[in-house]
Amino acid sequence: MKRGHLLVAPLAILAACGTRNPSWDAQLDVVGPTVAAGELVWVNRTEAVAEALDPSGLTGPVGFDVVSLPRAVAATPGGFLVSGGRGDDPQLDVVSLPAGTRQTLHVAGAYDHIDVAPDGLHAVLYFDPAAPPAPGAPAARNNNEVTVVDLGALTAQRLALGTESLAPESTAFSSQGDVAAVILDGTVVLIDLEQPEHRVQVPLKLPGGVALHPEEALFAPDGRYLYVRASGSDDVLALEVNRTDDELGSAVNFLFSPGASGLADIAVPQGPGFERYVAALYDGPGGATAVLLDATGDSSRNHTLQLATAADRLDDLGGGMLLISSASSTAVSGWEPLLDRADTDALPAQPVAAPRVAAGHAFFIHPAVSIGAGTSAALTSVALVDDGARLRLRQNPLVLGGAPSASVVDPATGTLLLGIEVPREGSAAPGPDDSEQTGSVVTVDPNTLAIGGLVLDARVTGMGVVGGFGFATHPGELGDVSFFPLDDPTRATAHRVYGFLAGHLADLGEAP
Amino acid sequence: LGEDTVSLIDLANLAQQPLPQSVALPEALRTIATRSAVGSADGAWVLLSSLSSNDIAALDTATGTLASLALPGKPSDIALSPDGRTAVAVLRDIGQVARFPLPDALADPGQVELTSVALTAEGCAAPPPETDGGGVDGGATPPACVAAPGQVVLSPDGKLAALFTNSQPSKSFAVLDLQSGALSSFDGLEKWVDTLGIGPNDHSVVVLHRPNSGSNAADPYQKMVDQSQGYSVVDLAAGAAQLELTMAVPPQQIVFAGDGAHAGVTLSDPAHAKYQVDAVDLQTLITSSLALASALQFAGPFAGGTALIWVTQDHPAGRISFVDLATHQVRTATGYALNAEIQP
Repeated sequence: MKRGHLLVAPLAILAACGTRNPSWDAQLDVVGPTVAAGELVWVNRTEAVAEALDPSGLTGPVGFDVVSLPRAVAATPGGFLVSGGRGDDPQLDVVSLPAGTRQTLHVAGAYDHIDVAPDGLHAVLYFDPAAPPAPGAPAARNNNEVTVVDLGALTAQRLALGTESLAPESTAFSSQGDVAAVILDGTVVLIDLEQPEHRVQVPLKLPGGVALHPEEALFAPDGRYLYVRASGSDDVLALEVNRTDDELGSAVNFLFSPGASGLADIAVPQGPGFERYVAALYDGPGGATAVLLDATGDSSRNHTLQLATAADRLDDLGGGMLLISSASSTAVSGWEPLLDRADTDALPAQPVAAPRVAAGHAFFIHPAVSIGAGTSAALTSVALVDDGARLRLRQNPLVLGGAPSASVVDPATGTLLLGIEVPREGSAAPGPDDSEQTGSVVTVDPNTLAIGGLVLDARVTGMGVVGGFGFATHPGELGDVSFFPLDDPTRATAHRVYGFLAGHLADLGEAP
Repeated sequence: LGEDTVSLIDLANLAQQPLPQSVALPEALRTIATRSAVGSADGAWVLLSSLSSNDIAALDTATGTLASLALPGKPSDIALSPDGRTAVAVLRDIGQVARFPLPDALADPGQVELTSVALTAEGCAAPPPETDGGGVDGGATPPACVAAPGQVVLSPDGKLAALFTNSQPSKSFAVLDLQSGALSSFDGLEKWVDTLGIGPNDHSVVVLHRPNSGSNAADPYQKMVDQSQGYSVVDLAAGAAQLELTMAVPPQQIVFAGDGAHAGVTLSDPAHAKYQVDAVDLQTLITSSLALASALQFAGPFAGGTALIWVTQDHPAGRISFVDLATHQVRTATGYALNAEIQP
């Protein structure tokens, strides 16, 4: 495994010389990594610099100055955005990769959140009411606003929402990227991103003053409906989105399933036949009920599955199949709602977290499964198969050699990448290190269950996929990450880069 | 209707006559608890009756004049045909039904036609109460006997009057042809009558039953039938009845669709959060249950030859379902009160 010792040795010498600048001892405030334009990006908020890593290792880490007092970072198809600046001069940096070209937009506020539309043409900026105003700004600010940025024209338009809610909490974008839904605590504001002055407010306040608080909002694939799960309601709110060149309109309907209560999750299945449908999972006292709800309110088109066990999570497996699982039990069900077919089984143990789902498979990770006289961490791959006569839920358990610490699924292939903690001694990792444990990456092919992987030089704290590479982050304040090609994940092809967040220290020198 | 006056308000002429025109009621009609009133669809006539008087008062709303018509018995229920020109009064105390034309019978009481009606009933050992709607203690199946009808429902075209009682256990009703005076009885019901409706085709009747909770029938099935809620669909022409048991869910309202071929029965059980509309095919007497989400309020048909009906339901933001009784499609709009708040 190749190593990239960046700056650490010379910096160690500098750090030991004379009176040190306080920045030598200050803990860095770092945001990242963010996968942007095929690179990994960290923003060091302490020093207002961004560091970008090429996962192939062909070029070394590159640092960029970004806006002062950076607050948020978000990826775009061509690079990344950073918001920040003083309150009297708030800015948004638009940085392109790999060139690192930086363009600065003056915006209405030093925003705390940046959400980018899926087509990368627009971004929505908004405040976090819990964050303090930027230095130089008034001590109070109107959180009831957003700024829409046209990333092609590099223009920004501030929109005062004027709702009865406190502040935006999240945004959802139509898959076409033309409409944004700003989700507030009791209101949804739909904005035509190409004409931001066209917007419509949908207050979720019932007569009598009870406000419904949105917890989840999903657009229909064609953008015609926004489905909202809200606390205080067992109904799924369907906001019809009517977008024309002249206006943006909306109407709301409450979708229900008679007798069902305890709305726990919603999902929008993709694929033919699911137009105008949203799936809802109710975790009621007598067991869970899954319902495919017609968006127009035609309950005679609904499809219903009654389960005897509890369930609180819905996942779309694709191909018209949905997976129903529970955080509190081993029950798992597959459901093909349009054909009203289902199968239910029990996992070997309770999963530790929500399943990782991709390419028609779901992976459940179990912290402890009984094996012989002992226990071991394990993984269960779940898929739904049509054997010609009925729908079957197929399980494949795999015993793991250590405790999983992180995981990710390659969305292109469905391959599961699992970070596992293993003893350093006896592994291929060099030692001794600061830990008797090290990290190992296990890859699992969803179709063949073929196992691959490699031992890394340090424990794994996070995992991800960037370009054709997998990456694993390691503990360490100055940045530490290993890359490996997804089509050949071996120790020989992997390389490690660390210390790249310390680049700014080279400019500090000795304090006066 | 006030305690001692009727106030007439001309909605088309409020600017010229902002105050209502008051018409004093006779002493016999001033006891609200025993008084009934019914108006014609065109607003031309209002009939008033009292359980304590043989007289019916007829108010001509155009002139504000009140006329009286003496009948041989005390009306327990009155009805007006849709055109407001034929009135029916049930005289339970003498076991007869009076029908008469308006306004002619007011000037010529000889035009009142009387028909004697007797219904097969149970529980004759104990005298029935004098007002309809009272409960009946269950127990052993009482001996069969006859009872007088106490209530009347007219068909939508005003040609037929269905006569029944729910003040006494009865599994029968009678139908009176208001033009010919022909009377027929239907005794093929399995459960006690609570109320009923006649369809626009003049041969379909839907009967809502009331349970006999104290049934001690020896046959467990019969006991279950007695104790259940339910309704029956009757085809008068075929002489057939189909009982639909709804167990613990009481039927609420009958709605005949404008196509004349379907009816809806709303059912509501708030204790178990069970709400539904049963779609009834009046030709085959087959019923299908269609679930609704929340407690039912009101239901009604649409004009024209459609099988569509509407049902409003409890919801803080408003809820209405449009039910196609032919295709069984249920489309629900919820939140229209909230939609009014949507703004650009």
